[in-house]
Amino acid sequence: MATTAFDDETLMAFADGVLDDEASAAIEAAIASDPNLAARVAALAEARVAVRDLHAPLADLPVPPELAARIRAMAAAAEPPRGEVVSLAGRRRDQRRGGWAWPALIAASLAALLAGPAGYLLAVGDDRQAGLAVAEPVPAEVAALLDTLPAGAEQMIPQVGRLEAIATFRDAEGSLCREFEVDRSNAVVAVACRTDGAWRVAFAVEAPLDGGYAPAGSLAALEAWLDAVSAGEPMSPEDEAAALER
Amino acid sequence: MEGRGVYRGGMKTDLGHRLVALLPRLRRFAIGLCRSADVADDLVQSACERALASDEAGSAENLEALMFRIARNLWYDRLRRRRTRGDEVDVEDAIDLVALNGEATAERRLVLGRVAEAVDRLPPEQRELLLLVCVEEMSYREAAEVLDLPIGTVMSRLARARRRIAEATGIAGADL
Repeated sequence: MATTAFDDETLMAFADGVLDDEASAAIEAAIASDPNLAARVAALAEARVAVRDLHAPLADLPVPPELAARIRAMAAAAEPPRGEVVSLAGRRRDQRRGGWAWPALIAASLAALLAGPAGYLLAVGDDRQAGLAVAEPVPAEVAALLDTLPAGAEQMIPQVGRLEAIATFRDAEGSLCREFEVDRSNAVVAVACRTDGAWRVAFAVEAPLDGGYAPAGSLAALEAWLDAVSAGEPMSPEDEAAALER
Repeated sequence: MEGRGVYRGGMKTDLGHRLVALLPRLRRFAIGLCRSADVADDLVQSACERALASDEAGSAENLEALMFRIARNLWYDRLRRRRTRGDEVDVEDAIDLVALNGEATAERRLVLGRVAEAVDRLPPEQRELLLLVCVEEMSYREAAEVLDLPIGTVMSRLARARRRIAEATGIAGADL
């Protein structure tokens, strides 16, 4: 009898509409002349509907507000402290695994974000000395903060902006480097590394502030750069303090 | 804002929002598994806690499937522990599924009552599959991922469960 030619799995897939066209056509043709086969399909379909109907109203039950509140609170508590870059390091690793096209990304991001032909960022008025330029020493007031400000802390520099220390790490040569951000009208995300006691800008991008934060593009460029120079993992607060002492 | 959000400050908060949005369905699945709203809420909360503590949930392609998987594994873990302690699973405050279908016709409620009994009698591995595919409308493939089973096993188990439901409730032809 034709019915036995189809097992329950196949009939179920047919009832669920996920069977391929050829097999579906074969079942449709067989059903036409086999009421028993039709009944089997109907039973499998109706069982699905019945189980769904039975449970469907559960999703309409009001979610206890305290449950939602607890989950939001847990989420907020799980948030790394602002300024910590541990998750960034994690993301860098993830992305490396994922095989991002870093060189292209660097080129695109830097072309879009690097300001001015001279590469000066943060210039106060026409006073280029107050700015940040790659390979140039940072202004004295910035250097003073880089020597002391722990990651996560921020301080206002008059006429320059709010400087936030983001992370501290060593580059491939072992030099001490600090990632920091200066927000004024624009956000400048920068890295300076200390050699022979002087902080020199190793990387800087500038972008318009996006809702008070540096936008994703500048961070992608930073991550690309960190990756390219084999930057070490961000230091723990203890290691950072010890490294800054020296 | 969003760019910075995935960088520092905001990633977990964002995941929290997505979890809260998933709550109605996650609770439905959990109640279907354990039949008690209180136990289910506890389970759902623990599952969200796990997700928030993990690195994978925030970037999971299918957060829904991941959450069902975590909730389900937690539930079986609890069942195992209870069994080894000799505790009975508390069904005192079991949710009456048929009563929730208050708007269905009397005849339909009769059928649903028989479906509920039949679902209760199913082995747990068949019941969870019914919940994932028939109620949560997951594909066989997604259900296989949630339960960590080969898709062939999912299909044969699901077909068996649906046949049983059909037989037990009289919605199947007599000559099945």
